[in-house]
This record gives sequence, C-alpha cells and structure tokens, in this order.
Amino acid sequence: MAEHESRADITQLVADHHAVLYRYAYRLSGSPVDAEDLVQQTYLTALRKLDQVQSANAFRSWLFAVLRNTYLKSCRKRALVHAADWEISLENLPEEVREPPRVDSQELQAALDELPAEFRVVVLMFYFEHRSYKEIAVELDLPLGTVMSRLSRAKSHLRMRLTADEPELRPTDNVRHARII
Amino acid sequence: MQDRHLLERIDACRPGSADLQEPELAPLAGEVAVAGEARELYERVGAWDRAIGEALEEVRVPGGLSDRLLARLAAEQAVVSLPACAESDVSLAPSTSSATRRNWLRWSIGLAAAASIAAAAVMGSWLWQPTLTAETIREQALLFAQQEQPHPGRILAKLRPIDYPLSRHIYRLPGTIWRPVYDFMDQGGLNGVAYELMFRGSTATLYVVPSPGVDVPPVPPARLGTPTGGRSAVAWQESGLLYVLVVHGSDRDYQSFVKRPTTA
Repeated sequence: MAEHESRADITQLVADHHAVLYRYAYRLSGSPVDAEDLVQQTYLTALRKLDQVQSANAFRSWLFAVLRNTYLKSCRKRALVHAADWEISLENLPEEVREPPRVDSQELQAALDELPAEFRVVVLMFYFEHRSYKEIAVELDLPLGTVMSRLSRAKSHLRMRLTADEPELRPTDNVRHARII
Repeated sequence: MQDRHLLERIDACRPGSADLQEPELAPLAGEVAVAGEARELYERVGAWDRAIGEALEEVRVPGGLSDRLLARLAAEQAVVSLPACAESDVSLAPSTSSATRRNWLRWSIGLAAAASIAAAAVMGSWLWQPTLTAETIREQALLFAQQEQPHPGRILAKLRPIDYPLSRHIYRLPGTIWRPVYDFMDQGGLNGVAYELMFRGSTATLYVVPSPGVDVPPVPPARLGTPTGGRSAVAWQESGLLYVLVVHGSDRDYQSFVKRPTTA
C-alpha cells in the first residue's frame, strides 16, 4: 500500500513539475540531452527521498534543490574560475530606463554557458527560483557578500552579452578557456 | 568602487519584491526613494531582470518527456524492491542452477576471481551449435528477446556486473539498467546479463554472454538490418564476450546507442 501511494505521489510530481524542471535543467546545463538526464536523476532521487518533504507546497523548491545539487556535483571535477577574473561596470547597462530590452532566448543561453557553474547557479536561483540573495546564501552556505558579488557579476555579464554594442566587459582569456561547455 | 557596490546592492533586489526592506539594503532604499542616479539605475536593472526572467522561461520541453520519466521511475521501483546488495561492482558467473538464479544478487565483489574460474569451467559444457553464425544469432536472439521473461534489474551507475561489462562500442547512457540472463537463445548454460538501454524514446537490449568463438565481427556493424516485427539484432564479440544488441525500431534508433560503427 505504501509503495502504491509513493508511486502515485511521484507520478503527480512528474505531471506537475517535469516541464519547469526541464527548463531549469536546460538553463543550467545548456544541453537538451544533459537537461533530460538531470531531470531524470532528480526524479530518481526524489523517488528515494520523497519522505523527506514535509509539505506538498515545498515539492517544487525541493526538486529545484535536488536538481541544482545534482548539477553542481557533476561540475565539481571541472575547472573553476575565480571571481577576480571578472570585472563589472555600470557602462554595461543599456541606456533605456523604461523600455526593457528584447532578450533573445538563445543568446541568453549562450551568455549563461559562458558563466562558471558557481555563478550560473546563483543567477538562476535568482531568476528561475525567485530566491532572495539571503535565501541563496543559506542554500549554498555562502556569505551574503559573496552571493551579492557573484549575482551582480553574473548579471552584468548577461547584460553585456545581450547588448550588441557592448565590447568593454569581456572575461579574461583564462576565463574563456576555462569556461564550462 | 562606489559604483560597484551600488550595482551589487541593486542587483541583489528582485523586481517587485520587498528586498529593499532588508536591513543590509536600508541605505539603498533611501537612495532609491528619491529621484537620482540610484533610482534610475534601480529601474534599469529591474527592466533587465524582468526581460531576462521572461526569456529564461522560453525553453521548449521535448515531447514524451514525462512518459520517459515515468517509465524510468517504474523501472526503478521494480529495482528497489530487490534484496539489498552492496552498491558497487558485482560479479556474476554463468550457472544453470535455480538456487543460483534466486540468489544472484547476493554475490559479492570478493567472489570475482572464483566466479571467473567457475565461468570458464561451465563454458566447456555448453551445448553450442558449431554452425552458429551472425545470421543465426540474429534470428535466435530476436526470438529469445520476444519470448523471455526479464528478471528484475539493477542500475548500472550503482552496480556494475564486472564479468559482463558494457561494450566499448556502446554509449554509456544514464539510467541504464542491467539484469541477469539465463540460457540465452535457449542455449543451455549460456548465461550472462542484459543491459536495457534507453535514449530519447529509443530502446534496445544488449545481451552479453561468454563468446563461444563464433564467426562474428569484432565491432558492431555500421547499419542495422531490416527489422523483423519492429526489432532487429546485430552481434559482435570483444574480449571473449559475445554482444548481441536487439534494437526496438529502425537504424535511426540503432545509431543512438552505437559509437561510430566501422564495418559494414
């Protein structure tokens, strides 16, 4: 009976969250194949640890966290890029105040792909999970200042890359070579 | 330096949130409250955040994803109901006894050497047909795949059958499950494992048994033959093992599993 209920729960979790998890996984990994693998691994973990979630309202956040941790684990053996290799500048912001820019989804992904994993995770927790910088700091066990710095640098990079005529902010050669593909 | 700190604090705020009310951002809240550089920047960043947030949602979800996930989870649930076993490598030796079949998962890594010796001994007793060719293997494997009752499996990523490794010509796909196989192609004593492969809706079964030295190539063919009843099979041998891949589908499905085939 318990197994039957568990199966029903996981089926509902797939129905309710697989699409948003895939989008998140795609933005993290930059690859449809890797994204599907990440989602699959996330649900396999969920199947085993479903009893850890106390409230049905917490499922999505919990699944996001499982997916994120799975992604970070897969990145640990790859080269990390130091934050000092990045520079931010106010000049990288567009001039328009009221008009939001037209952001191309693929260009956005290309810009995300250039970010080191630890920056990508922070910026996607902000945009995709709608987490506050404090929540991000708690989740990732990082100082507030580190989160604010990473968030700002990552966002500046995205803005720079999504602005066609902004050549000033470029990652160093080291960063380019070490970027996670 | 001043600009960097200002931008960092503004970038920390989510559009439409109460983040500005956080104690750390109280000075910024005061600056944003009045018209000026900080407020202008705050609004500009907010516009970017909304645009980026919307664009991030623009990802096409592949068709059939939920079905594939549910199928994989169903397989996992079948697996977790198996007896407990060390989650590492496991050694399986060919055997025909029913007791061994029931207990196959309890064999441990430490039995690897003994199992290999046992495997060699059992190989000699096979009733293998001397005229078995790639074509007859293909036909018999298809028949066997159609009729067999699969045993419960294990996840390859957690537990590897070291006596019957995945072929180096086959992609190691996440979520691959393997299970024991007995009397493959109804050949008494021809025991090994079967890997269940899945990739984007394509499925295949890879049988791995000790090779009796039949006349099959050392690599999988470049192309899959014409399917029979929606299935087709290819065979090759490497490192003393016979690999038979039964593909459910066409050559396109076959190419999902095989690495750069080199022979026709």
